[in-house]
Order: sequence, then structure tokens, then C-alpha cells
Amino acid sequence: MTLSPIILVVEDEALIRLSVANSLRDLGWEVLEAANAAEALHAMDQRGGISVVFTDIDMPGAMNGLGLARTVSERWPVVMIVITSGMNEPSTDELPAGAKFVPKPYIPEVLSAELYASLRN
Amino acid sequence: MQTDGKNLVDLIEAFDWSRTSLGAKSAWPQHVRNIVTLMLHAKMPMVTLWGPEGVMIYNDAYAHFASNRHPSLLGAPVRDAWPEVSDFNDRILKAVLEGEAISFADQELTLLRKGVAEQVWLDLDYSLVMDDEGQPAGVFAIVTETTAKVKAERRLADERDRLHQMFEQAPGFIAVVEGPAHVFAVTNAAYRQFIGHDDIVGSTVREALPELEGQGFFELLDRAYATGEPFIGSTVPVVLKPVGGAPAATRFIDFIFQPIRESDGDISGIFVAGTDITERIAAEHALRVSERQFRTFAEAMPNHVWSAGPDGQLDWFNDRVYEYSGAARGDLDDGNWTRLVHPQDVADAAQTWSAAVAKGKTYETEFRLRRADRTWRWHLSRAVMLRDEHGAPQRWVGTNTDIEDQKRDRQRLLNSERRLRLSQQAAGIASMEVDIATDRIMATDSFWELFGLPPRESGQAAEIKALVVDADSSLPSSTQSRQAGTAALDTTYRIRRADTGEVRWIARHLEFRHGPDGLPKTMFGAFRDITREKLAEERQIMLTRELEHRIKNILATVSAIANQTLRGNDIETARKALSERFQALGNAHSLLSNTQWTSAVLSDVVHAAIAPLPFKRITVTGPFVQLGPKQALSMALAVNELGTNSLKYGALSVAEGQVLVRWSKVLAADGEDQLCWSWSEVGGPEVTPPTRSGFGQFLIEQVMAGDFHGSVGIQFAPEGVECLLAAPWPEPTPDDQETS
Repeated sequence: MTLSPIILVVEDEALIRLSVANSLRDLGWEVLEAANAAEALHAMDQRGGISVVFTDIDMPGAMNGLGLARTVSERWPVVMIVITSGMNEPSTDELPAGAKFVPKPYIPEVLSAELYASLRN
Repeated sequence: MQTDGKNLVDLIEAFDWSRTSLGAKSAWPQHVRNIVTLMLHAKMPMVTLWGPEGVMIYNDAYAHFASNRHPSLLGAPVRDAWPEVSDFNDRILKAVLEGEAISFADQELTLLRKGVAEQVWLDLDYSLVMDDEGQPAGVFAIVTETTAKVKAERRLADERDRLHQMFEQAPGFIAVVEGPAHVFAVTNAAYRQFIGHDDIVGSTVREALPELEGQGFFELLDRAYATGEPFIGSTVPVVLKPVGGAPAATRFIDFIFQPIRESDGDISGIFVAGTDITERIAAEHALRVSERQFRTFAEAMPNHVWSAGPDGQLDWFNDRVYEYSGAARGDLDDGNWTRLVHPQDVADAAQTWSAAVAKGKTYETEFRLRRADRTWRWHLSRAVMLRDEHGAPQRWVGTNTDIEDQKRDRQRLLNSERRLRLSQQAAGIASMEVDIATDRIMATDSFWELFGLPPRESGQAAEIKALVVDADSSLPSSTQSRQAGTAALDTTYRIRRADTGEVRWIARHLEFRHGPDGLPKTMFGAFRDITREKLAEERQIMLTRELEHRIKNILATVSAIANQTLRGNDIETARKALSERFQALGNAHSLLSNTQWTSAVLSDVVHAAIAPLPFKRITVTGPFVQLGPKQALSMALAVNELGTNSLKYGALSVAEGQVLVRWSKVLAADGEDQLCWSWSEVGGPEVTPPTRSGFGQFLIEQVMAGDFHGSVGIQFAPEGVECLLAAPWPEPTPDDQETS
């Protein structure tokens, strides 16, 4: 088994999270799941080697997806951050430098291909 | 000393003459005696003054003349006797004694005969009396008082002077010519002024006034002189050539040549009198011309023209009035013109006219006048009082102007304005206009109300501009953009109402009207408060966005369910499961649609989800509780999963199996209300737990737990499957649907 890149999927809706996680697994990713920012940071602390944090913006809890993205970019600058939302696209100054935005709905295969391409660069 | 009625004979006899320079009477020389005797017999007042002293002896007539001074005068020296005229007497006495005879006619003297100064006039005649040796002995004087005669003459002279003054100053011209050659004997000032010559007395008329040759006056004078018949001329033109080079001028005169007949019946001359009436003629002529001009002008006017005396009685109408009314001349006189005025208007018109006449002020009113075809047409009637140069009222000149068409047009305009106003009101449109030069706004009441300002006639553009919210301040027209005509014709902006401070949306449309220089002169604007439309629009946008979001969520859910359902299942199984799951989703959606996607009642969700199952064996009990949209969907999916599982392997797979779906509100340890929901199967075959956790179990455990923010547990006890949900008591809010 080859070494798969690790992606942390942060999504409060279980059904969506399961769906995207399963899709990404099928596409060769090692997927970690978190239902909110707190779970996501916990996962980051516990498990090194995470290449990508893929987070929804709107989530319950003290920190939303944008807050999580900023925290991650400060603490783990090399981690690629991809943000998604079904609502309006956030302005660039709300996003940490280098973060990508992918609007919902997205096609997991296309998303995966872009992430692979970005990682190779 | 009293005279006691004694006459002078006795008094002289009784007088002691020895005390005088004349000496005792018995010793008087003969010439004295003779003279005294002569004098005493005379009836005229006489006095003799003897010797250088002038000792007075006089007669009765003189005594009467001397009045109260008599008899003290007798025997007195004349200078002492009349001290008030002593100088006069002294001079006379000396001169006469030296041989001079002196007489005076109407000599004026002031005498004190009765103790008061008295003006007297005397004829005095003094002559020398000589003694026997031919030596001067005394003066003999005859004194005749002429005071009464002089006063009468003076009165006559005064009378004559007065008459002469009157003659001279008479306003008419007067002259008297005498003899057959008509020699000027006398002329008055008016005459001299009239003919323009001075100093013609003594000249004949033909010499003095040669310019009259050929004008007939000489012949008339000759005839009057010859026949004695007076001649009276009226408004006769005469051309006179005044001295001093002034041009000859035609004057008009009324005059009389009246022959003067002497007491013997002969004609001595002609009295000429007359008046220069040139100015009056000119004034009358001017008036006639003016009158003719007025008539001509009045007849040329398209309007009715009429005139009235100062008393307001209408006395003349131009032809237009007769043509219009069909009345014959004379029909409208004596106040009958009022018959032309509409009965409803006549009282007002008469009152206005009377008031104007009383005050002499301009008259103006409107009334209907009957036309010959018996239709009524509105007229504007105006009249002004004409006055002479002294300001005295002369006559009224009035006009009636047909304003029927204007009045109808005005009414049409009013109607049109009314329609416009009504339609603007109905449409909520307020209109205004701005005078671009002054930025002054004229607007309807509704315009000011739109901005929360009290209605007024006009205001300044800046007032309106100040109410526009800062963010929109570039949108309304500005002074510059109005002057340049570049203001956006259509725009919307927000204002803050002046009265309430409320922010409102205003839509406005502009049009410019340009002046003759091509520059914008007036700006017209139509304004409408579109706040409601704006809010509806915003709400529509929000709803659309919500709908879009909801569809995205549904698609994401459907997509996820489809993905997971298709994973690792054969197509037929997957198709059936997918169909059931979509059915459950669809039912829950229907319930949510009923509440505009805000909530659904838990029992409804459960009943809808069990509808495809043998629901008679499913008992559903629980209190009323509303679920949020996501909770409703995940509950529907969970019940579907539990139901289909039960139908395959559990209680519902056998005829006697039962399912109990129950829920209740319980108080949790933390003091919050909690929902305890359960699915319990009884009477089914013995349960064996599944070897692996499938998607159905994921939907129940993960998805439902997540959407209820609670926990879900499934017990695969041998006697029956039991699923428990413990979650905060659901209180759906609209925000629930916003999370994704």
C-alpha cells in the first residue's frame, strides 16, 4: 500500500462529511474527519503529516471554518487549506494567504485532482 | 358870551370897539361905516379885517359859517381869531393890504368851528378896502363854504374812476369809436391786448387796424354808424396782426357794434364790445375731435365698448353690442342693458357697478351675456372713469370681452390638472419643478409629504438634497448637473424623512425644459416612494437565495445518500433502498413545504415515514413537538431505515410483531428540557446484531444525532431492536435552515 496524502475533512453535517470522505478515500486519500473546528484542531494535534485541511465555513461551535483556517495557517503554515461553502464566497482578505476556496456543490473527483496538482507544486 | 339870538347889527352896536385898534364905533371913519353897512345887508358870508391886525367885523351869514366860534370872533384880530389857520390869514392879510387881490376856489382848510378838526372847502375872495385918502385900510372878504359841493364832486370823481377801472379791467374787450371815420376814443386793456396794439386812441379804425381790410368789419361799422342798427356777431373769425412782428393769427370772437345815439338823436359813435372765444372754440373742437376719435376707435374694436355718465347711466354702445345681442339702437338705454345679463349674474354685476361708480374706481366683473341666438357667453367687463384735467369725473368707458372660450379652456385645464393630480395620488407620485436659475422648487403638497416636510408653496433644492442619505448623495441632481442638463433622468436613492428620520427609497424621473438660449431653464421631476417595492425586492432576492441554498442542500443530501446507497450494493437492492430513502425525504419535504420550510410536527414526520410500512402495527405516541427542517429530514430518514430493517428482519417481518414509537419531554440533569425518543420492536423474531455497520445505521446514528445535536443508540437486543434518541428539546428557529 502506497503512502497516501492525508486530508482532514471538517464538516458538521455527517451525511455530507461521510459522502465526501468516502469519495476522497476512493480517490486514494487518507481521510480524517472532524465535525467542527475543535475536533479538527484536536486531530491536527494528534496526528502529524496532514497535507490538506478541507473545511466548511458554517459550522456550530466557538470557531467557524474561517477561524479554523487562520489558526491552521498560523500553526501549520505548510498545510494546504481549502475552504468550501454553499453560501457566498468570502472576500480574499477573510482567507488566510494561500488558502483556496471551492464553492459547494463540488465534484469530489475534480476537487481531488486539483488538490493533487497543488500538492505536487 | 352868548349871542342870545341877537343879530350882528345889535352885537356890533353893543360891542366896545374902543378896546380895538379900530377905536370907538362913534369915531369910525365913513368908509368903515359904509362897508359895514353894506356887509350887514348882504346875504353872503362876508367879513372885514381892519388895519394891520385885521380886526374882524362880519355879518350874520359869516356868523353862521363860524358856528360856535361866533361871537368871540367879533372885534378879534384875525390871526388870533382862527389860530388853526393863522399863517394862511397872515399871508392873505399882508398881501391884500399891499394891493393884491386874492381869490381861491374850493380852498381846503382845517377849521375848529365846533371844537373838532373839520375839513372844509371854501371859495374865498379877498379885496382891498381903501380909506378916504386912498390908503389901504382893511380887507373885505367873501367866504362861501363849498364843502358839500366838493364832497359831491369827489364822490362823482371816485365813481368815475371806479367805472373807468371796471371798464379798463373788464374781461371782455370794449372800445368806443367816434364819428363816421370811427376814431378810437377809448379802449380797455382787453381790447388793446386783443388787437395787439397800444396807443390807438385818436386813430381811425382803418389806420389802427389795416389788417381788417377785406374782413368785413369796416363795412359793418359803417353800416351801424349809418343806420343806427346794432350788429351782433357770433363766433366770427378775425385775423389780427399784432405789433412787434408776432405772426397774424385767426381768433374767434363774439361781439356787438352798438351805435351811440346822442340826446339829439344823432349817432356820435359806436360802442364796441366782445369776447375772444378762440380758446373755447379750440377746446370744443378738440372735444369733438376726441369724441369722434373715441367713437371711431370704439367702433373698430372687436370688443363690446360702451360709455356711461359719471352717474353710471350707460348712454352709448358700439355696434358690436347691438350685433352680439340683436338689440336695436335705443333698446339698451335707460338701464335696459341689464336685460342682456344672465339672471344669476345680474345682481352681482349691478352691485359691483354701483360700488365702482360710487368710488370712481375701476370696474371689473365677469358675467354671462345673452347672444342674439339666446345662448349665454361669459364676458369680462371692465370700465375706467375718464377725468378732465382738474380730476372731475367725465364719463365711464367700458368694454366687455368674450371669455367663454378661455373660461372653457381654463375649466378643461382644471379638469386635466385634477385628473393628473388624482392619477398621481393613486400612483403615489409627487411632482415638482425647479427653477434652475434660483434652485427654487415649486411642488405639490404630496411632494413635501414624501420627504416628511410640511407642505408649502415652494422651497429650495438644497433642503431636499440635505435629506438624502450620505451613501446616495451623488445620485440626486445637483445645481451643476441641473444647469448643465446632465442630471441622470432616472434614479433611485434613499432619503431620511425630515419628520420621522425613517429611511425611505425614492425613485424619481426628470425632464428638462430649455430656455430660448438652449440652456435648461426648468427641471420637472416625478417622485415616488418605492420603499415597499424595494423591501419586496430585497425579500425576493433573499428568498431566491434561500431557495437556491435549500436546493443545493437537498442536492448535496440526495447526492450523498445516492453515493452511499450505491456503494457496495447490487443495483436492484440499491434501487429499492434509494427509492425508499427518497420517498422518506420527499414526504418530509412535503410537510416542511406546508410551513414555508420552517418546521414540521414530529408525529406528522413519523406518520409520513411509516406510511409505506404496515403502520397499523406501529403505535405512535408522544406530545406535540416541532422539529427544524434538518431534524425533520433526518428523523424521516431514520424512521425509514428502522422501518425497512424491521420489515426485513425485525418485528414487522412477522404478523404479530409490534413497534412502539414514543417520545416525551424529560428534565435532564443539567436542568434543560430534553427529548427522549425511542423506536422499540416487540414480538418479532430473535434479533441477531448485524456483522457490520451499514449506511442505514450511519443515517440513524450519525446523521440524526448530528441534526438533533444529541446522541443516538441502537440496541440489537434478542427480543427486539430498540433505538433511543436523547437530544435537547427542539425549538426550531428560522436560522436552522441557514446552516449547511
